[in-house]
Amino acid sequence: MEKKPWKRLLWLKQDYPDNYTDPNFIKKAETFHKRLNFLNSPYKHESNYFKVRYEFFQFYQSILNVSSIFLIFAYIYYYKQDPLPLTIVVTVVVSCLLMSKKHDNPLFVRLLNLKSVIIITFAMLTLTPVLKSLSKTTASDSIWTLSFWLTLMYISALSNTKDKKSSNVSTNLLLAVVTALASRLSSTTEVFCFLYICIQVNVLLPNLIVPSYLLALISNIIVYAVITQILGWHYTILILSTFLLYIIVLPHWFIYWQINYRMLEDGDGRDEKDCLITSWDAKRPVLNC
Amino acid sequence: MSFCLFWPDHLKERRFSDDDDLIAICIALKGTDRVVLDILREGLVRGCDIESPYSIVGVRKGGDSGWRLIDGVDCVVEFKAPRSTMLEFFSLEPISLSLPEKRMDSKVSNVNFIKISENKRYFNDNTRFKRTLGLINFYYTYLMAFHKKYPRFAESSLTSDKNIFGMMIDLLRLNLVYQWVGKGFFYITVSFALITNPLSKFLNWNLLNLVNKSATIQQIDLRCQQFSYFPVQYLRINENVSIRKAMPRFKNYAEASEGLRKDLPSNYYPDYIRFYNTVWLMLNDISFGMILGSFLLQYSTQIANFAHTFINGYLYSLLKLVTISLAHNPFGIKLNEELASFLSELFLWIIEFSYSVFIKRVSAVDNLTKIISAVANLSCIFGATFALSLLIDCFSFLSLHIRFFYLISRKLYHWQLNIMSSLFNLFCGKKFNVLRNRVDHHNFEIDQLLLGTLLFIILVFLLPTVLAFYSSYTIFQLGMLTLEIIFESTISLLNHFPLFALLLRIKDRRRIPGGIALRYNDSDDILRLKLLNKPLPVSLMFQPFALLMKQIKYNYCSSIIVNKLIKGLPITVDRNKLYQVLYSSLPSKPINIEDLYNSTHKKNN
Amino acid sequence: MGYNIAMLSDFFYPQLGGVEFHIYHLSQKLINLGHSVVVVTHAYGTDRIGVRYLTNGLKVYYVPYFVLTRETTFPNVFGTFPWIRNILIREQIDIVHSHGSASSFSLEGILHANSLGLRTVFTDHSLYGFGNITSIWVNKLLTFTLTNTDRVICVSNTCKDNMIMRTKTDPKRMYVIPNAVVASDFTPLEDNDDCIVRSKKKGITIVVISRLFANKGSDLLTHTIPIVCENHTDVNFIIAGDGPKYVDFQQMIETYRLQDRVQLLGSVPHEKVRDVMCQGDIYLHASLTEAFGTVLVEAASCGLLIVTTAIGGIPEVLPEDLIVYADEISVSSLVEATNKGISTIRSNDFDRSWVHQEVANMYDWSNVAARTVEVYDGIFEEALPDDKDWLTMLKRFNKRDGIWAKHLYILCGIVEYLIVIFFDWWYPREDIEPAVKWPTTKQQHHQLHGQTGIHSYNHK
Repeated sequence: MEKKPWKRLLWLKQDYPDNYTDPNFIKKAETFHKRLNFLNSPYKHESNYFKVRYEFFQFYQSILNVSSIFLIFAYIYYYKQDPLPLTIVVTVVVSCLLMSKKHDNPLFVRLLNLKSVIIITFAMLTLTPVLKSLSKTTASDSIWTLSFWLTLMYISALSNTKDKKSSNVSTNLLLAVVTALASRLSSTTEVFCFLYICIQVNVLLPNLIVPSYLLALISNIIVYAVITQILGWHYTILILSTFLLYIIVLPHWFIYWQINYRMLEDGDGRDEKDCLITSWDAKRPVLNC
Repeated sequence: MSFCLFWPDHLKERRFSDDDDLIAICIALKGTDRVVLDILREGLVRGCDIESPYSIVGVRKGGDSGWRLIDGVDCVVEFKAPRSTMLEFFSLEPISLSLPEKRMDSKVSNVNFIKISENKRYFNDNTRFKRTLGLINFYYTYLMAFHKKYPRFAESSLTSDKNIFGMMIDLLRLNLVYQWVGKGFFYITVSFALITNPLSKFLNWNLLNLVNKSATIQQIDLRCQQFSYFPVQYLRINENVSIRKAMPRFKNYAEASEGLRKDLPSNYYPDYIRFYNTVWLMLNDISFGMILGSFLLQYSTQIANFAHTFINGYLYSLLKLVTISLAHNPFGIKLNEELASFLSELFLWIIEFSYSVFIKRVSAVDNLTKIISAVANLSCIFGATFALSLLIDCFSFLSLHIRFFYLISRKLYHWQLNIMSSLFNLFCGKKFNVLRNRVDHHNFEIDQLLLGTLLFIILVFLLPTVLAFYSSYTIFQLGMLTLEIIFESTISLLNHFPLFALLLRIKDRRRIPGGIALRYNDSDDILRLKLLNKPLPVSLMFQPFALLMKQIKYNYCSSIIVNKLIKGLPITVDRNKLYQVLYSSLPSKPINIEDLYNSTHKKNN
Repeated sequence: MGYNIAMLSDFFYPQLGGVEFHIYHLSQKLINLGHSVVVVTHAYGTDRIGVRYLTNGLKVYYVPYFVLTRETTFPNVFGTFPWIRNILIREQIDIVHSHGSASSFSLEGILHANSLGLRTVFTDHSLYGFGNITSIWVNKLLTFTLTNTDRVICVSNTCKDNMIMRTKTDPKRMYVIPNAVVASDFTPLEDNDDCIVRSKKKGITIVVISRLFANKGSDLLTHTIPIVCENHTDVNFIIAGDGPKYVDFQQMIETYRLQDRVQLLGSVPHEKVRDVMCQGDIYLHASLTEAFGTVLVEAASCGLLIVTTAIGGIPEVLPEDLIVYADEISVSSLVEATNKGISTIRSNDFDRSWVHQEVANMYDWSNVAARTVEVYDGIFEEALPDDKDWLTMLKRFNKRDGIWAKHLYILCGIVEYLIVIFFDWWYPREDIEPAVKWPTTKQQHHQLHGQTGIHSYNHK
């Protein structure tokens, strides 16, 4: 009599030894190992490259945003410019953006709550003398080092807390950087303006604008122009070439790493049921209501 | 049925002529084993009816070397009969030197162990053995009762054994002079108690809680409590003595059996030890006080000079130096200048104020000499403990400003930590829910977040400054605390040293039993055991001290104190609670005057 | 003539959980089959330390050792060697059986047992991914350990597949033996259970028993429950378990005002689980990863209809007619599945009378023990003479892939052998006194009655 075919069930008493292995699985594992070969891995798909590159670019963009803190600081501290006009310009731009978007989205209504704007502004006005004096006695070198490390932490916090809106660690670190730097400024007006611009550029603006290549281009042009102005063109070329290397070569290496070390066979688990390696991970729950 | 037979040593040793026929008479009360009371010539007993508690347990024919015992005797336990007049006795458990309601067992802290040992299945109360020991403890009294009942047996045996010392005490007790002197002393103590009792009550009054504030007052309170407890202790001891003398009860079988349960000497005897321990310690304290006093008087100038430099150095100059340096970036640590100079100025002002108001005056050498001689005189009268506690109080008064600094900086630090932790919750999108006492998730508005962040950053940058002040004053405070603890431990040692018990142990080990031991005696015919008395181990006598040291270690040298320091919680410990262990020989509530009156009244009737 | 078996794991009584029950019940049944079993684990707390005896003379060694987090010992490859060697020799162990891949204690135990030339078996109870640092670390450690392990037992086919991918062990050496339940502890509601009947509400009650962690699907549940409550006015929930997500459940109840309908019990002792289950009609399970899902079998044994996510080994565990699956791991499909379950209960389509007996027949610890003994027998039947040769074992390490990992494995192996040599010189085997074995059940009849087993001396 022919044996009944094996079923993948534990509760059924079957006439097979306990070390019988699911033939389907063996087949699956074989195809998996074939796909893992870097040359013919489906993960190496063109669209996957674009996706990875886009994410790399976004990270670059956020670093660019952070660098604006230092640019503004240099503008005030090194070039001893009056920060007031700049503050007014930025404030006007941000408020215009807010006004224009107000009708689209209830989120911006929350942002433009007049009461909170007044409270924040006055609180900042009151606290600027305190902020200015917080680390006054510390030597400048210590401040530069401190702000460097804080910036690193800020960047890592940014990349970590993308989807968690409630967490506020990144804002905190940003303010820590600003406070550390603020002690080098000479007057309270400067401190206030510096703080005000930084908050607007780094906290409000990313919430307001939908990222687009045009905007990215504008911000790139601004930053590189300023860098050229301050450091000279060979620095600009150096930074620019680093950026190009980063955006062109690194994604390739990243995909190679994904296939070889994380054993990802398919882009981002589009078809999870066929994707062997992620099938044992704890599933991400979809909280659609 | 098998049982043990208890055989006193002196009956073994007693010589009878070898050719007499002998009979061993034993007593067995309800729920006890048999204890051999007396050995008589066979001829004496013949024709005499021996009644129920007493029975014949063995016979030795003339010329035989061994005894022929009745059936069922499993083993013979030999013992040295304790002389109850000399306060010797056997006890299954170590006698406790502290009051029963205050007994704290340090060994049994394991919950599981308690659970098991309380279980009925594992519970063995040794009732039979305990009762037999009770009988043995009153061996001579029972023997006397036996002889009273059968007077014809008496002359043959016991008279030679009657303790001469015991008789003398009996004589003295009867003496009229003794009675009058005793009564006089008793009434003096009672009148003392009448004064001290309300005083102690006032000192312990919850509203003022003076006891907790000063070492001297605590010392006074201790003495008051001891004095007001004296009459009660005396009465207790006396009452028990009179019970032991109540002969008729021992003649009646039922009553004697009943009495066995209540009259265990381990119930009343510790009272006696406690009473004399207190008296001894008081006298001891005064003699120490005299030594201390004379020492202080002799070297008063040197001591005054030393104290002057110490007080000025530690409580003023050093403190000032530290406070000033904190304002100027100590050890290159960059503090917040504004806050540091503000705090520094504040503290400097307090230092200068307290210096000019009292430290300067007290620490003048003239005044110090006066204070020292006053303390020395008091020490001669009231004892060393009193002098030491006065010194502690002086010191804590002089270091009042350090305590204030500590309290202020601790409060600042604690508040700051609290605010920072709640702001930290804010950053994690959480909020402490006061009503439900838990941490909830909460979506904050952007302005709330920004404001919180600003405040948090400010506090983070200010934290090192506050921490610097807090930690330096905490070190000062800890130094003071250490000194105080050393002094107070000395005082408690003087107050509660188990001197009397130790002396008793040296004098007669059988008077403070710490349990029993059975030694195996080699013999051919029957199992022979020897019942021995284990003296109370020294470690048990010092148990309250061990507990106190443990508590001090727990309160001052453990992770708990580090934890408290880090969190900015107060480290001052309730002194009353801490030294409570040492009050183990005093009742927790002062004796009521009315009760005292009633018991005195009863005694006189 | 039975085997001398040592069960090694970080997880054992007084902690309660899947692995712990597995070890306990398996050991009991093995003892009944005439084998001698000792359990070796780390000390729990300050008082559970040293040697204890459990029912039937199951001897437990609580080894004092530094505990890192969640009751797992500090991993350091060689540190446990002196204790484990001593125990294995004094108990004259033939087979070392370790449990749980998260337990460094058991993995190290296998390494030591291999170097001492003993046969080794490993049982895995959980699934691991490949994506994060922890699982990479555990996988590497496991690969190292299982290279020379004679047999591997997995609790489900999914678990076995996972194990094959993680450690690339030969599938022939891997066995699938499921967990079981003590069916008599999970009986359906009877008429004389009046205390439970009284507390049972009208309508349909849905029970959730799980630790409230993110990977147990707490977020799914907190979103699903309000929707189900809104759709059906006669449906109530009972939630038992504790964990970091407990507050989320409390907040969910408060936000949707479900105080009357959702009952949060907190953690429930294991012996009360049955009483809680019996108050409900449907058991709702929303776990995001699961190797076997013992709790599902327990719920089915109590006669509940099961609504669950189809994750990991769950589809293998029970027949389809006892379970309603959610198609996706999403709130909407979980709600859909729950609705389906509710309508099944309402239409009385679900016949629960036979379920208990059915489940009891499917999963039984005696069966598990018998199959495990077959695995043990297989080791000795197919054993090669040089299996536990140090050189052979080093060669096997050399065959693993990963150039760095391979050499690290070999290095660790050599160090381990040096330690073995050192201890054989410093504390020779002959100096270790063999322990007295608890008499097996068959021999016990010859003993005098009333004498406890500890005193009766019996050589095998």
